[in-house]
Amino acid sequence: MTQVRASDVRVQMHDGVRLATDVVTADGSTPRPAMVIRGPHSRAAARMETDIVGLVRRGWAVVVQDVRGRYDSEGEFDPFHQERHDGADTIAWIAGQPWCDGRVASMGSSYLGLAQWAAAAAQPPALRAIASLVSGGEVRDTWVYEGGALQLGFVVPWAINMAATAPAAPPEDQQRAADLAADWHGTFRTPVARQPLRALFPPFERWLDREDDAYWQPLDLGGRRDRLDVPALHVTGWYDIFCEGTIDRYVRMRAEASSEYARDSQRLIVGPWAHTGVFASGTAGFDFGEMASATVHRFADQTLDWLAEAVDGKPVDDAISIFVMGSGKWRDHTSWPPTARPIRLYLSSQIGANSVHGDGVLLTTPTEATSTEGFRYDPDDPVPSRGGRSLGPFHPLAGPVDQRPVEERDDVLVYTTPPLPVPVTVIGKVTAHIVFATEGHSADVTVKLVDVWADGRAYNVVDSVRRAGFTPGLPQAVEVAVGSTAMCFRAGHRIRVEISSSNFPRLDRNPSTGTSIRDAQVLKPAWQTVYHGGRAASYITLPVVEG
Amino acid sequence: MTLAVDVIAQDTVVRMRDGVGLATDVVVADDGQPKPALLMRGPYSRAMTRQGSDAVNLARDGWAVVIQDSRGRFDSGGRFDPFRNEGRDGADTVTWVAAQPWCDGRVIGYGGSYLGFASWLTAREQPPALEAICPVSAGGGVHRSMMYEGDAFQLGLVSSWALALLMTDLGAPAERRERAVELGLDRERFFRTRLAGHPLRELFPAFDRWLDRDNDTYWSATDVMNSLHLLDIPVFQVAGWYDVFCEDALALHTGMRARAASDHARRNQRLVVGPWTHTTMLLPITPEFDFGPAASGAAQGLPQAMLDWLRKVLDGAPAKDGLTIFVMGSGRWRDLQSWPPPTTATRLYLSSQRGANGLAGDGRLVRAPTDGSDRFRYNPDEPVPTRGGRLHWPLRPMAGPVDQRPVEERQDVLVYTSDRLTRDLTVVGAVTAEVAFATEGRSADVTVKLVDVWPDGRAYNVLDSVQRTAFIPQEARSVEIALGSTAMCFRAGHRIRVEVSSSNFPRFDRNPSTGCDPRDATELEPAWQTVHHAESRITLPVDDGSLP
Repeated sequence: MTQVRASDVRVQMHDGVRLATDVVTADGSTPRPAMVIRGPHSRAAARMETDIVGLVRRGWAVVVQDVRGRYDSEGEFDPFHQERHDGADTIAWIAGQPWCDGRVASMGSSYLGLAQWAAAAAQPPALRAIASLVSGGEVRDTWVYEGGALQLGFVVPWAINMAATAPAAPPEDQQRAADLAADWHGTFRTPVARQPLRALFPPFERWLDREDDAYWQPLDLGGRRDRLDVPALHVTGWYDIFCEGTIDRYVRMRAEASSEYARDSQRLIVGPWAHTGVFASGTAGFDFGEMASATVHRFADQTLDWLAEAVDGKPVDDAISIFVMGSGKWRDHTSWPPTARPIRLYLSSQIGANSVHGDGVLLTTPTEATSTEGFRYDPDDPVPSRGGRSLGPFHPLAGPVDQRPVEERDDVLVYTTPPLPVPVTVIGKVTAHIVFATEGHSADVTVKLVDVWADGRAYNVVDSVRRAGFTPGLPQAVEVAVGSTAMCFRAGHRIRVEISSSNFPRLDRNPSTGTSIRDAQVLKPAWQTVYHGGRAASYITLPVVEG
Repeated sequence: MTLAVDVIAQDTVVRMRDGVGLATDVVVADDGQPKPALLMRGPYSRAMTRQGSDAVNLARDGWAVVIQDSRGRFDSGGRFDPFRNEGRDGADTVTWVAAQPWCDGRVIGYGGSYLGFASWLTAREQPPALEAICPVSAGGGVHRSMMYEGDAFQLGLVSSWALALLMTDLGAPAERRERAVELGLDRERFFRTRLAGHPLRELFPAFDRWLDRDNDTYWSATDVMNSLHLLDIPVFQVAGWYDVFCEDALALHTGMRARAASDHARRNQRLVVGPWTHTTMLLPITPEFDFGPAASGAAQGLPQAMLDWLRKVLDGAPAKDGLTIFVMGSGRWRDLQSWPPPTTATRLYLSSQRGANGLAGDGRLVRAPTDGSDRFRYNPDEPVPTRGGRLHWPLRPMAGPVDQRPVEERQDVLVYTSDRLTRDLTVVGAVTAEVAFATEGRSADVTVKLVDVWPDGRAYNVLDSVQRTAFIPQEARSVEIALGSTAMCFRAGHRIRVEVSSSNFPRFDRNPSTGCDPRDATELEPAWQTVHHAESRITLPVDDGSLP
């Protein structure tokens, strides 16, 4: 077979900065389509994620690049912002090389996925297709924030990692970053206002201002017709921190990509995976069985075949393949979300819903009379994160984890259905309408959907938050986008909803005062009230499908 | 700025002595200079090995990298017979590699897990060009380190590994692969399937052979231990306290230190042991436990330190020898000249008044033996479920330390706990237990687990093992259990706990209690078991301050 050759080169960007680049192709080959992989975690890390020699043997020329300011590349690292021009410059350079036939595809996960979308938004003519894994949404509201709360448990370790491995940083700064990493829990507990990382990694400081349009606006791709025109394969997991972003991006590309070919050439795969275990048969703490895994479905090969077809301009598979948890089966859809019947389950209790020992129930019709339920949010003792869509170096790791330890807490309101007589399959986006009041000027409303097994184990399905401003004491309806899932609640299981005001360290703690997290030196506790029944009924909405 | 030299990757076929061709990648810098070669041979596909080892980077660093599919796997010819062809095929490949123009005649066995076993089995054939091996999370004796522990079958590990190989056996008829996937759909049921009539025995013939525990001629062909005195090679091993192959790595290290064929080989033996599991090698956290940033392999410079060591050894320069081990609980690394280090044996005896059944019992670990006994009922239909430890399979919880309280609630688990420690107690070495045990049956498993109990009640497994033993019904005998090796600081305020039972499933197959060979046992019988306190104890090798 042909001999593969890997060369180490430098590619010059529009402003003269040179980026360290591997070019891997076949000796004596006619020009070929090129696959570009650009990221901040080192070329070695990229090579260990993708078998580049295998890609060349499949007919690609492969280009692996350190992004600006990372590892062997020159320049200063300005995450996300720099990828639009540098990505487009690199693609243009590739298309002009003698070993490339002028057609370029790209692939990569997480940041490497966002870098692809940024480059695609510049519409480089040579870019024919992309594969974006566990990535894909808008930077502000899927990477940095969720429901208006800072994704503390993800962005802080990520930024520390970047600071600790910054090639140009003075050794003492690298050491300070390493010290922050040596005590995660201490680092998370430091209020954002006093977070040393703000000085160590300037982009983190910018991220703390969610209203800074000058920073965020250039990153907003919005799926606008004039910006994105590329076939794309989207892969995520129900427990991936970027699940919503990936699905939203897919939906928008399907509806709004600028050409019909691009709109028709979008494929979505969603498995029961966490961010770091895509294509695995489960998460760190939960086994979904062999059908969930890539061994059976050869998803990695499928991805490459799909890209090859898209680069050829052929019609490509545009199916949506999702794994339905609880059933252990995959099913294909042609549109997202699939047709479903929205079922409302109303929160209710007699004595009190505080903890699993309370009497909170979920009803299909609201009670006539309005009643309330209270709990005390204490930022010094927040509800600890247990699994879910996390990506932090803290335990338990992402995925389904038994929630009973947090359901023992009085600041967690717990509402449960009776055992289900028949299975209930939920596919699509779960939302909640919570009528809520607080003593403070701002509060987080956290909502978690839980699958309770017959033996009492309680596994989180999906959860999220909405940070909202309040007039103290005045109730208001808060709409919480709990998130997308595909879950069969089995007969004999029960459906449970947990409501609280924290999920830490996955999300930062609300100071309760209405003060910006950048400035809040003090985090205040607050008494929170949830309304039940009557005109103030609170409920969760589940998209239920047949079979 | 210096640019790296061009690297080329060739795809070739290497003929074995019987004419079978094995698919082989050669990845090497294109500078015309012959180089020492790192040889990686295994059943998991060349693609996975290229990717996992970053072959391009190794080649840029000046190594020739040779990656080969084992006989019968992926693109190689012949029939796959796990482990049994790796010695000869490995030796043939070493000879071929050494004769190539891009190789300077020196070959190193490289890679982890099965690839590490393959390195040891190749070394056993003593191909002259083999200069060193670097097995990571691997053993050198298939029976001892992979198939059986304390004479019980490592059911969970072996059956799920065989299933995974079947699923990726591209040469097999599709219906075989589909059958394997089907078996993997309900793993609980798969593990509960009796060995008598187990579907893997027909689907994967090697599995049937593996159930023959006492077939020495079969097993001796895949064990390097009796050949260590012939081996004249430096070895750098990496192991993990919660890796299934940890014990064998330690035994091979001490064996080579004592018996290798030359002074050069005896001197250049190196072993690094971290708090790692098979799938979290070099990582500071397991799915259920965080050992802190110092536990990262990067803190020991791995894996680069291994390659630097190799360079020195190949150049005849002095290289660091002996062990570097991570002491769990204290979070510190220690250098040791030999294993085990000098320690003082501390004996703790099992004791109870009312009964040690479960956490609600009153079992205690005490300094002096007491009279009395405990009883529990072993039920093979409801065996004690495995929670963490030295595992490698897809069931959760995964390998490593896991809170044991759910199993300690069971009446068939005897729980003996010490008083709170008033000062730190560091255990380094091999832990053993003697249990005076009786059963109604003709055979019983004695399972013993050493546990670290935190002040808040969490109870993390440190070590556990089993000894399958034949009995005369109701006649007590002393059973010795080798729990394995560790380096663990029990902190002041913590307590030491020992669990005793008769099952740990599916880590080990269930004892039929009848004395019948598990291969043939169609019935698994329950049995009442008795533990007599007076002669039952655990022996901990405790650091008396001499640890460096």
